[in-house]
Amino acid sequence: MIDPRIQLKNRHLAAVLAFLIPGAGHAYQGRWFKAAIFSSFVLGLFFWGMSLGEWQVVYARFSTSDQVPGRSREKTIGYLSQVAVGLPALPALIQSQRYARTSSDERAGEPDEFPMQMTPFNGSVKIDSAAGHWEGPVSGQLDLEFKEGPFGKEIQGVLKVQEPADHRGQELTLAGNVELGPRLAASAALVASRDFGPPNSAYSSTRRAFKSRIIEQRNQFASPVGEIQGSIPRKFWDWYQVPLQDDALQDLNRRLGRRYEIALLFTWIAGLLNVLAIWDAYEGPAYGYGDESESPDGSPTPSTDVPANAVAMADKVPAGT
Amino acid sequence: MLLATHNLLWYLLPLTLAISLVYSASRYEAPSRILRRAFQLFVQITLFLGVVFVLLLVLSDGL
Repeated sequence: MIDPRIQLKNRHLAAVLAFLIPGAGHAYQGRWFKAAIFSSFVLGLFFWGMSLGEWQVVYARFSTSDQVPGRSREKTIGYLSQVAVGLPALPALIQSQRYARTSSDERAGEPDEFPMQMTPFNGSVKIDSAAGHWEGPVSGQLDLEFKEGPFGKEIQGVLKVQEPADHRGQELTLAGNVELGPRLAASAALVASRDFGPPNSAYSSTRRAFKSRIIEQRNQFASPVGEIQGSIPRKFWDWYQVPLQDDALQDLNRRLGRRYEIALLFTWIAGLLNVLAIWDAYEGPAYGYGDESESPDGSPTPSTDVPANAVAMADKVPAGT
Repeated sequence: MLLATHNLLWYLLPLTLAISLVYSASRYEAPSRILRRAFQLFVQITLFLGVVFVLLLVLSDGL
């Protein structure tokens, strides 16, 4: 029986709110102290774990594809506890569906990504042309489109150079063999290649590898004169809670070591703790209000003054609540 | 290596604190009782982990 001093209001709604946002169900019930504890500690633990794991420890993978190279066949059982944190972990379900729909190798980019305008690029350039030799770091803005080339559809575009200053304003024409890192990836190698990068190559969530030839028009023919290699940004929604590929997972384990396991543990336990919070929002505290007299072993024992106290408090509760 | 492992063990303290508080909050309603029980639970878990840690440290001596 629930202590009459505890107002659960609509307990079903409270449980749903407690699931969606830890502490929200208790806030709805006016149980502010518990709302503060559940929200700060459950969410704190969850996001601390996410941060320790470089925001790549929460993802869902329930369907496996044996045909896709590089994709793990293991299913993420741990997500079943992470998802109890509610909204912060739910994007993983959508990302899992998006991930399952993608083809095996999106490294050349997807046609619906184009045209790609004013995309910031950082990397290096190497050119040997009639105008001279230029080799070194370069940054600028990429304008890319997917259009008909001499051998079918391909990515073409222009890099408008911003740095270094002595080349500012120069436009480099890009075409042929454009290589782009995967659009949807929690983390991927910053090596633009159709094969997976070497084990020690850098990985990134927020950057996509980009590599292209630079061409110049000579006698009505396009001739390659050099190449640029570097990276462009990956959108937040294209990496957050997206399932990790095998190579990215290995990279994360290699760099973080046991910190990765601690990160997983924090997110798992945050979810499990929120199950207690959800149940508390639905059913009230398991042992009672807490002002009962305490037995020597710490467990509450009913005392004679509790019912009287409860009745006295119940009288103060407005009717109909 | 041992030092690195020990550093990771510090993460168990905030984890224990969160478990103690949330668990106790799901058992009682009165804030004073929640805090008191959470403190007791925190001490109990920490002591238990400490004893296990020392035991394993002694057993692994010389390995």
